[in-house]
Amino acid sequence: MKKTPLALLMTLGLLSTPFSAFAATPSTLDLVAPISDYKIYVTEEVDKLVTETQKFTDAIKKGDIATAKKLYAPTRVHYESIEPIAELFSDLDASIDSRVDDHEKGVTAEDFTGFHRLEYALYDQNNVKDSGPVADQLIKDVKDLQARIASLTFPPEKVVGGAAALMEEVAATKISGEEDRYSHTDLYDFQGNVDGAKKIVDLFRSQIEKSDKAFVAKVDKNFATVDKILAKYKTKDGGFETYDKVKDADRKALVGPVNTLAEDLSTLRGKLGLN
Amino acid sequence: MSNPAPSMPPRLLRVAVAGSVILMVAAGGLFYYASKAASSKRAENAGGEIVVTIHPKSCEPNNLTVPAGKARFKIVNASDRAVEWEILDGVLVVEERENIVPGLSQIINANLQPGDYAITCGLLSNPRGTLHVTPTAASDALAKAKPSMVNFVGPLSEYRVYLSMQGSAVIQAVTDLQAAIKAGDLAQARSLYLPARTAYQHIAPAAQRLAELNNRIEARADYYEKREQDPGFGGFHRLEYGLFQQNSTDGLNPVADKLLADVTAMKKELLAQQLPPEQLITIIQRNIRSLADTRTSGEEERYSHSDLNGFAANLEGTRKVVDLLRPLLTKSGPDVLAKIDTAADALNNQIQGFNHQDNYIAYDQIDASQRQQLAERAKALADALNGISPALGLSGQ
Amino acid sequence: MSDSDNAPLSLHRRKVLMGLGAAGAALAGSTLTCPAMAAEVKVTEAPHSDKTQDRHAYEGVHQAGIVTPRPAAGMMVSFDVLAQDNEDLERLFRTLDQRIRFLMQGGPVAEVDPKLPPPDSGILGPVVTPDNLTITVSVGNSLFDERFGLEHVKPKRLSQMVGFPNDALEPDFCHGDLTLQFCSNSADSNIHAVRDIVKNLPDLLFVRWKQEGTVPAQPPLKPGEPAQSARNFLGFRDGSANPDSNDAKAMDAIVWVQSGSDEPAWAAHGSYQAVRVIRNFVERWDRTPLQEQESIFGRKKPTGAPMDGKAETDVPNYHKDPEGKLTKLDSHIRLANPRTPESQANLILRRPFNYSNGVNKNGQLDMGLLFICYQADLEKGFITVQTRLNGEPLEEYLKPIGGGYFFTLPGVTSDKDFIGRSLLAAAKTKTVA
Repeated sequence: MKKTPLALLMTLGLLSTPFSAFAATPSTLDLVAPISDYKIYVTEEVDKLVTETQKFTDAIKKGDIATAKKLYAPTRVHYESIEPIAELFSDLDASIDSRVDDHEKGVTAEDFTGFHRLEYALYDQNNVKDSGPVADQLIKDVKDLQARIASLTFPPEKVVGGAAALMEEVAATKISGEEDRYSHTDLYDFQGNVDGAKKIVDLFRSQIEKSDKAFVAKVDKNFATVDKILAKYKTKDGGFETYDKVKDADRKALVGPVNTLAEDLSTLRGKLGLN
Repeated sequence: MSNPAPSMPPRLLRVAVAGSVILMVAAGGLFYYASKAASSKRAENAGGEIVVTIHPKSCEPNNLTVPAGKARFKIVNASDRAVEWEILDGVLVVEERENIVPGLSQIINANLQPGDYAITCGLLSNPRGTLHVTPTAASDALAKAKPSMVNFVGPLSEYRVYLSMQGSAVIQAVTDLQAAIKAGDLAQARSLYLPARTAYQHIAPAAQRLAELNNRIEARADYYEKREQDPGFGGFHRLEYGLFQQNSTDGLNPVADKLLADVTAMKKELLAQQLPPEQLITIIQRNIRSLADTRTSGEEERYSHSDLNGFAANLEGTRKVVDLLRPLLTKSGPDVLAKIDTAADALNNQIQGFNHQDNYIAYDQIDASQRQQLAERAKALADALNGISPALGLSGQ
Repeated sequence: MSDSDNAPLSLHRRKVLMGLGAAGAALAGSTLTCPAMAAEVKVTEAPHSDKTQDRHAYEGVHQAGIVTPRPAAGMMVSFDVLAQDNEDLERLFRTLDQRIRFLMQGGPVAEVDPKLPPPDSGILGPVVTPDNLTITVSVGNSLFDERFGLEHVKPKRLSQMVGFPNDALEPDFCHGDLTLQFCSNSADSNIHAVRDIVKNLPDLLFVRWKQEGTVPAQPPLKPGEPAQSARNFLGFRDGSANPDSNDAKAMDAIVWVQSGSDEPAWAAHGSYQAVRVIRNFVERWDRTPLQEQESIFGRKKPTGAPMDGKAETDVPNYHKDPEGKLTKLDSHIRLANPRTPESQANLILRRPFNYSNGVNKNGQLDMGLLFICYQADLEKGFITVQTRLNGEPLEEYLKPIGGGYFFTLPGVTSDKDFIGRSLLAAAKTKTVA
């Protein structure tokens, strides 16, 4: 099929033009406010991460196991909630949050550092005598993360896609309780991921509702179901029970809404005209 | 004519006077007719110049209609003080020219989108006029051919975060200044005036779009009929006048209170306003252009002479925007970027040359040739900034 | 069939069967090899194949199973060698040689006294059919330790695999002294073969890990239709830019260690084998917009064509796309092979299978790619290519968990020769070849 040069050029032009150019031109600038609000949210979260991690690592270095244990899970929430942005820096993500099975040599691997290495020392070994260097590395890493986030222009598709990414995180790692295998504090992380996803949906709510009110209602309902089940395991001090306390029936009841949220939120970028 | 010359017969003189009056009236009528015809012709002729005359209490013409696209306005200042002239889109400034010297005129080139605008006219108390911009085939085509906005979402978001953070900094600094004024601590208040002003100058390019609110915050005395004595005169410069000219905190409490309320409202407004990419670029162009054209005269901080402070802060705010657009410019306009960086560095070097241990020299110590050099370097930067819009495929102003 | 209720049973049955027969005729072009659906097929009747007698030659300059066309089923098994001394090691290789010859040729199973355990599993019946089987023998870095005095004849570039940044290697799923790559038309032929090997070498081989895999079949090619690469479990054609395995010159340049190279003399005509067991996060992938999938790979999904082409075999023109506007600079194919003059030195021959194991604790499916590739230089080949791929967007969906680096032995050239003979001979001479 012969094409005129012009038609060919236009076809190639179409190939290289993002679909969004044809989607919503006036409403594309409507993304600016929610994206910058999201950066403000992430900045606040990472600032809290730095101050809490400082307290956590100070306790570790002082050998104060009880305090460190109290601080471990609530500190991590501020990392889990900003996962879509944090994982853009894969070197820091590995250093801060890798799990033991990411390393061939397991607990003895030299590059097994970060929260879960300290979790192992706190909960499995009950001994933080030699954890000074790992603690120092962790506070250094979260400060580095803070600086990198400050100078990062948030890519719009990463922000909007972040809601789905957080639910993938839950589906792949939180349902099984393998994230915090020594402390069993997975429910904190679970809630952190869910809250992070909800934040993004809230920021773009009005825009999505313009085109699909039913979609937003469905997403809200699934978030509410997840929150309700998690809330059953809240403790008096605002924390959570350990993961082994979660009844099988509840674990299964979480899977449906989590997977459905992952499916539904994976359409968010398309709905807002982003790649 | 008061006393007739003794040499002329009285009857001839009366005829002469009557004749000249008739001539003048006729001439005036002719002139009036001609200028009306000319101005309406000019208004319809997009290629020609539209003359607007600013009188002490009004403007002429006060109602304009032009087709979309490039328009050239000649603003004639027929009043007795320096004035500015603005085209407003709602509360937002679309184009402006500051400091038009009495008796002289300034040319403003504007690139106008279809719509209805307001135009200001000299003193803040003078009534506003209207500008109606009609769509053309070209403006319709341009609207369709805009580049992908997705590329600008990142930089615009970052700038909004910047405005949010700097806005918070302004509010904090003004709060501290207010406290010092309330405590009657003149020395402290004088030292806190600077950081508050610096913080505001960071966001001034964006804030200056919100004409009314910005005027309440930083309008200079000569915008007001009664100047420093005008009851409407407030904001930063009223505080500056009290702290640095009258050397007292007396009477400044309500001014500080109002300023705090206004900068708080300004932050909120800045976050609520959508800033299209063309405007992101226009605001810094305008800001540096006004530095180049008028502010090196020292008119801005005429009591505290802290102008260099403001220049440095404006330059920081401009470089922030350039850095946000750097990835796009590196791809689409590396030469433009290089020119901007060179010009910005040159201007910065000169300004920093006046900085001794974090204190800028008072502006009244800066001599004419130094001021001239500042103006030239700022002009080079403003010219370089003009290259951004075409490089990024934006219609620009 | 509206009168079916009233018609006598047999008449009704005949009508139904004739209807089915007509349907059967309509299905004549299908791969169903039981056209006689009108006959009474029992539920447990074995499926039929007319390819069970296909066979490959065992002897050759090179081993089979590398440039041999890849069939539908594969299996990689890694062993620890239990031999205590070089005599045992030789016995291991000689036994392997015998068993592989038999399995690749096919033939009747030896009959023994029924009071004894049968020598064959019987999976393929009393006559073993070759079914296109190839068994390829490779040795790992650990075999060249102090046990058998092979250190001085180790292939120069053979090393123990070290994890890449995105890896989560499970020690039990990695490395090994010796691998056997089984390929045939069906999973059962591979299973029959591995059970035969294991039964015959109880004191010399310990099964370390194993991964089976398949590739999806396609309808037969129409005349003039170009061949298509089989798809992986991300739905993309896998192997599109593979060098031509029928081009002997290219294979000598890319795959086979040459005699006269800096490798030990015994290694000539062998190759380096890199194996990677790469889990795919398939649920997440299936939730990714199509446009993004294609942008991550750098190819169109339905045809496998590059972004600036029409057919899978089209070569992308990166000179016309220096900024990656068409094919992104960090897309999988562009990182793996940037098609510069320099990157020509890094070509590899890929021959992977797809695997599907079980379910993980999160209820997510455990499936992925059993990646296998061959090259004459492991460092210039796989290691360089994977290093280029580090950090690619596709990594979001991948997790390498197993595999290793091995050296595929040269071919067995006659019936006097046996697999591994040249390696053992080189070790005996005690000189660095």
